[in-house]
Amino acid sequence: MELTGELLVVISLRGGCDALNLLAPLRGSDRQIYEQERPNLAMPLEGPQALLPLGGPSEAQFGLHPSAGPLLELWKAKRLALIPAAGLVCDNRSHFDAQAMMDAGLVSKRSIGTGWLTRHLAIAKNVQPSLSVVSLGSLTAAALLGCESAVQVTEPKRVALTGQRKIAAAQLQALEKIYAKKNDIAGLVGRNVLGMLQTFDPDKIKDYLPPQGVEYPHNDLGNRLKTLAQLLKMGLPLRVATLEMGGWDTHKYQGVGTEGGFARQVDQLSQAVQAFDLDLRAADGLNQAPRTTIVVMTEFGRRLKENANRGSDHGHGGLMMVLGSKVKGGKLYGAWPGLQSENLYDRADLAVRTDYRQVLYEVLKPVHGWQQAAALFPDFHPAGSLGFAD
Amino acid sequence: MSEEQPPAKTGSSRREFLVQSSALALWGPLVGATLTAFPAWAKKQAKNSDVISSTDVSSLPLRRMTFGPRPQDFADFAKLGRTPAQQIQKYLEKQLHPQQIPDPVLEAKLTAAKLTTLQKTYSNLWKEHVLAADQIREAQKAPAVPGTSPMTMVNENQLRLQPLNELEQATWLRMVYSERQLQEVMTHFWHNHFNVYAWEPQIAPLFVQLDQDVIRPQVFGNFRMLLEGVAKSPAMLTYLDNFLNQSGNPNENYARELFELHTLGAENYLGTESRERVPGFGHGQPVGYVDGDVYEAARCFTGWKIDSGAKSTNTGEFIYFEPWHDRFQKIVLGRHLKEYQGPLRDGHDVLDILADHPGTARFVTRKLCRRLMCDNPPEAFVKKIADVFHQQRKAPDQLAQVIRAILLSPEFAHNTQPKIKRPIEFTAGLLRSAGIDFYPSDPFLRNFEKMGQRLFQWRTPDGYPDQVQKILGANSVLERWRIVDLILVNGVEGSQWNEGDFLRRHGVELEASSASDLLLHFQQLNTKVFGQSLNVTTLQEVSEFLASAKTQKLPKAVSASLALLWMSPEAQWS
Repeated sequence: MELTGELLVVISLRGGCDALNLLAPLRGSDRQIYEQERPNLAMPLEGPQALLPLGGPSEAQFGLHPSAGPLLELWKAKRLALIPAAGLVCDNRSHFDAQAMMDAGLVSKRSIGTGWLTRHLAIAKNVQPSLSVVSLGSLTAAALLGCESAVQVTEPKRVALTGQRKIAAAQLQALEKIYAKKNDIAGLVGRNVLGMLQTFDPDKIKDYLPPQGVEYPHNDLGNRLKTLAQLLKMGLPLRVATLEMGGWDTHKYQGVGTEGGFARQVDQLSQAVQAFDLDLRAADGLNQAPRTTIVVMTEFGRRLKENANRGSDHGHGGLMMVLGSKVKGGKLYGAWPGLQSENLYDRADLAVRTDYRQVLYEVLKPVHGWQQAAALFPDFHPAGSLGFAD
Repeated sequence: MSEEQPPAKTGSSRREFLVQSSALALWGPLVGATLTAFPAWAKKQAKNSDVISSTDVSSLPLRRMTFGPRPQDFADFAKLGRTPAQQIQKYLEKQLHPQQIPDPVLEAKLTAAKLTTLQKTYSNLWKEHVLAADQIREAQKAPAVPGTSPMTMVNENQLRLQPLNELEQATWLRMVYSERQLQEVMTHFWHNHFNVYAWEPQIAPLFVQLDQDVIRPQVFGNFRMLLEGVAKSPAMLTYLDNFLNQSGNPNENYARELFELHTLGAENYLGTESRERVPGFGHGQPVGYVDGDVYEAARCFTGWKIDSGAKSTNTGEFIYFEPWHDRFQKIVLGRHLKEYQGPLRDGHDVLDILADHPGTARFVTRKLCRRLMCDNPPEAFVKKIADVFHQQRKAPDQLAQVIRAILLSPEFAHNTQPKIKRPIEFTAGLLRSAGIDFYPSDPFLRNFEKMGQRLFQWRTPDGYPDQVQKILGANSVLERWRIVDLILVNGVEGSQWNEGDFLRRHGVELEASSASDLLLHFQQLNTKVFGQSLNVTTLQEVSEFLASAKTQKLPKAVSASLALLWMSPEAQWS
């Protein structure tokens, strides 16, 4: 396998995904506490809406959300590793602070002008100067702050000027000359756009047809992953792709079992990720599974105790997922702190036992080696190894 | 990644230099430096820059107080006084009294648009766009009655969204046509500050009240009053769930964002620290807030809800619902609130405490300076303006005084940092500077979803960003180029423009066939339409383009060449 050609796909669940309902305790005192603190939100153990047990001796304690069937399949196929109680080792329950720190690869509120993915790309080898870094969406990803070559794509068909072909071509020639002489940020970004416009031939961009058996769900994340697949199929030399999925800030009526907003979110996430993974592996599809790793992360988990509106407020420890051919999946990694009051963070939330940077670091370790830890994550000292990527 | 290095250049304009320095401040430093760092070489370079486009610099205040100057604005502004200071002052004083500015063009546009829901009282909006929509939903749930067709019913969601659609259209017309530009600029600012995602069918009919009754009339008013208006607006109550907030197990969504985004800001958030340990707590003046303050404030706002549902009078108005209120004592930011205070008193106290806090003054003022002056206003300046904000916190025209303090300051007069236009500012500016007969059609508006800045559609409560590194990506530039061509060359529903009329209006003709002759005319346009903000190299390339397009007999050559002016890097800056 070609280490230098890795593709890293980062999916950020914005709003604070309720990790305790995505991966919930099945038995023991954790289960008791969980049911006690979440009388209206605890996921059932039995019936058609029951949690999906992970199985296996050591993982017998946990079950996945009943709408996460596709994730369970990935788990059973040993492609998916779960890291519970992962997150930001920092006293903060603000979405925007937490997101900003994670995107910067920090655990404190300071500004260093680059995102963690920017630093990864800066030390990665053999990265093409253009069109190797993409955010699926309209705005720059904060994890790519300071990355000159990052571009965003909403729809490949829109990567073109709007007018008649002949006029647009002439305008582009003029824009090449106008932008060639400008070194302000608009000039730099404009030159990236011109690079995109050269690569994307509007005549050749057709609606993406995934291979047989791969069906992207019709939701935001599904559409964006499908667009990413389309870009890969076009032959873009992608090394990093970022995607966001909103809608996880479930302060009210989040639902239980397979009903309600949270279940819908989990269903969309699971189906979209499964479709993309299948496409990556299909010989007549993307066929790029060996070089691809997918990371799913969120800024924090939610409060153990439900609120009066059958929702949950901002918490602490979350759940991270790592998926790919290089991942030793079907296993839980990292320590589980338990839900007993004395083990909770601030006596209220699931504690963080695995620093999110440890997970990201181990994803990048095969590319950069141990010595680059500080360059990737300032002030971070790796603590041994979780081992999902060894 | 590029290393920090001075650009190789000689004799470039001051504007070009300024733009370069801000870009390098962004792209240059890697780990260990901040975005605000101003490299040493740049300071030296600044002294050496001798080619200053005076018109460009002198029109900067006009750019910040509007959605982009129209061609006649440059001359009108210059006529206001002999010195730049006089000009700003005159313009500003007029703008600070919007009711006294006649607005006939806008009024005609609004009348022609027949935006009927915007004339309705809140009570009628509730009846006709919430309750009526509820009835449709109920009727659809019921088994179909033979002989009636469900297709004859107005679509439930259309009914809910209609007031918002009309508000969006009215807002575009105001940004482009209103003479009360500063009111419009500040309305846009406060909508982002108190962001509400309005496209939720549940929120859409309520949102007009937040715009028309709360934000727009108070942009030059008092912050504390504005804050209370927002807190009690049904749109915000719904968006941040406070309408559900009740004693026992409160919903802290609103309280948290009230602290973090509306008042003190994340810069004054001290995490989960215990309250007693925050410096100043003992004197009732803690320097910042912790989670404990958020929880206590959430209790204060229990029972602040909307009058709706079967067991109520169902007016949709804000009400204080005593049975849901937590009546016991609370401690917020070091202040003890007694048990059994009267109706609304706990919440009002929290708003008082927050609006009075110096941290709020700093946070809100920094955002105002960022909007009106530059991305990273100097801290000393922010402090100075924050003092005005704090001292005038009881004044009915507090916000007008703060805006005055910013715009009439020597720091503002000497500011040369450009600001990147956001997609809406860019497009409104294009429509204004090109003098386009415009109506915001659906095909036009949908472009803004792809730019990430459709009005009132920012999902999270932090609002659309206001700093270049968060705004200007490849997609943003690409979409700007696309919309310039749509408006000027290819046409988009609702926009009427004729390049011949445009050129005649400015006494410019592009009949010549040689690039050097054409250049003179593009230079004239640069002065009249762009206030000389475009770089001469851009004008040269555009002249070359047109000369060659004419030789090739390219269709729409003239409008395509004009489009390039707005597509240039310089035109992205304000």
